[in-house]
Amino acid sequence: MSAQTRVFLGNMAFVIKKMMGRKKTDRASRLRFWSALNDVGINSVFFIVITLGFVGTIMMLHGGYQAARIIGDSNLVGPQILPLMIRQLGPTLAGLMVATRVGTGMAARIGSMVVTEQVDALRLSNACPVNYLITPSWHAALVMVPILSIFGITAAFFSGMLTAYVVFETAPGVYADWSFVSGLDAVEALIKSISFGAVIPLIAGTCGLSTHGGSAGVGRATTNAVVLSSLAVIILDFFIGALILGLR
Amino acid sequence: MIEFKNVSKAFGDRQILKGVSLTVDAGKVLFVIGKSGAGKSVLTKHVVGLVRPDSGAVLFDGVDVSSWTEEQFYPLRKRCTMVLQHSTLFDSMTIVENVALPIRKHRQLGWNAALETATSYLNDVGMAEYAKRMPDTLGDGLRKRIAIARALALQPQCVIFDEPTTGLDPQSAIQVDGLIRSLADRFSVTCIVVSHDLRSIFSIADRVVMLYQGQVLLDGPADVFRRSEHPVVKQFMSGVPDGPMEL
Repeated sequence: MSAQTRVFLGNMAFVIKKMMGRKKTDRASRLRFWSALNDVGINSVFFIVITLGFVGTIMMLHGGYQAARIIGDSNLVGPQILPLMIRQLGPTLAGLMVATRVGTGMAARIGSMVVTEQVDALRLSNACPVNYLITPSWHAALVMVPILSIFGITAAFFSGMLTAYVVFETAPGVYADWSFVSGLDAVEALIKSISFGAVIPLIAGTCGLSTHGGSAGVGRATTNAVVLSSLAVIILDFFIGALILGLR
Repeated sequence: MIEFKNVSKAFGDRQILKGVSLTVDAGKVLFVIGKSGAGKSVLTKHVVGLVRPDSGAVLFDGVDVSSWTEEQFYPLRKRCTMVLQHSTLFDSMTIVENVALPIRKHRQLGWNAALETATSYLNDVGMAEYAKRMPDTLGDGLRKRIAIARALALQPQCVIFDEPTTGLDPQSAIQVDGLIRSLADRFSVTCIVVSHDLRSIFSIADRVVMLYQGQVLLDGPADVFRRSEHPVVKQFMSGVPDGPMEL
């Protein structure tokens, strides 16, 4: 294990320890949480709705074309892609979008605060940098990634329905056949989105706090944040999915 | 009051400090000088726990703080604070909120009470007009003065200034020098100043310590520094690129 990896893991253990410690909730910390909710959630809604909207269209378009070609009927595509959207594409793509938009922003902001000594100034002010800079985003992501996933799934559902109707003349009632969707799909989506919400700020914040070496270091921290948090989303997606498949 | 005992510190392969020993007298103005990368800031950051020594000890009022936890440093940072090099105001806060943050955290005040205290403090130092402004709307000189005001709002016994006059116009630099001198003279505040500014050194320093190659090269009053025949000191004073000093 390289020295850099050891430092990163040590920093992550420090961040987790600080986040788990008991914290005083006051007006300032509530304001930081609301601000993080806005940053993680409200500012990401448009981005995620557009992305998942297009994904719903693309899946219906290509799935419908393939189904029509192979079995001569595209009406079955809607009921087949609904569970996939709910348990797989919705939370995972929402997680990846949050990793891209929020993770990079966090790492860049914290990294530039490290190299300009603002984090040292926080420590001199007796303000814990973890509680101040990472914890509000962590709490916000736990709440907002599931909500963003719901928005994304809804956008994908309606865009897929519109595509099915316009391109394949599939009636909305036929497209929206929920018989293949189970409660476990919703549970899987919830577990995944909460897990993604937990790891993205943790990784991005640790990358930010591990920054060294001026503006080049901030660039490296930002790249590491998006690469590592995207990888974490994909790996968690696989393991949670496999675990729940085993329960079916 | 503050004592460094054989302090060594390395970052990776780079050995910054090699067994530095030094005592800082209470109520005096000590300048720590040396070329860029000599370890001046690293040395002074040991006092407030922003950097921990690899070996050796840092004593504050006779207590070894070198192995203290972050939480143990909290009360010490009220007594001894630091004005960092980049005038580190928090970009997301107004000026008054910047000054209020350490007041709130160190004195355990509510946010409104801390804002009131910070406002009255800014008023006292003639900077109340900037209270509601954001840091990015101010020039470097004003930002630096506000960072100093923020540190002084804690009424510390010791203040470490990391290059306080760098980037300031001559008038502002003279004002900052005067402020440092008056802190020592009027309030017996111990001031440790990291600087390259020869004009500041000769106008307000009680004592000068020069670091070179991770060790103390010279330690004495400003006059000793001025009259030193050591070739490295002479080159530092003259600022010429050619000489024995490794650049």
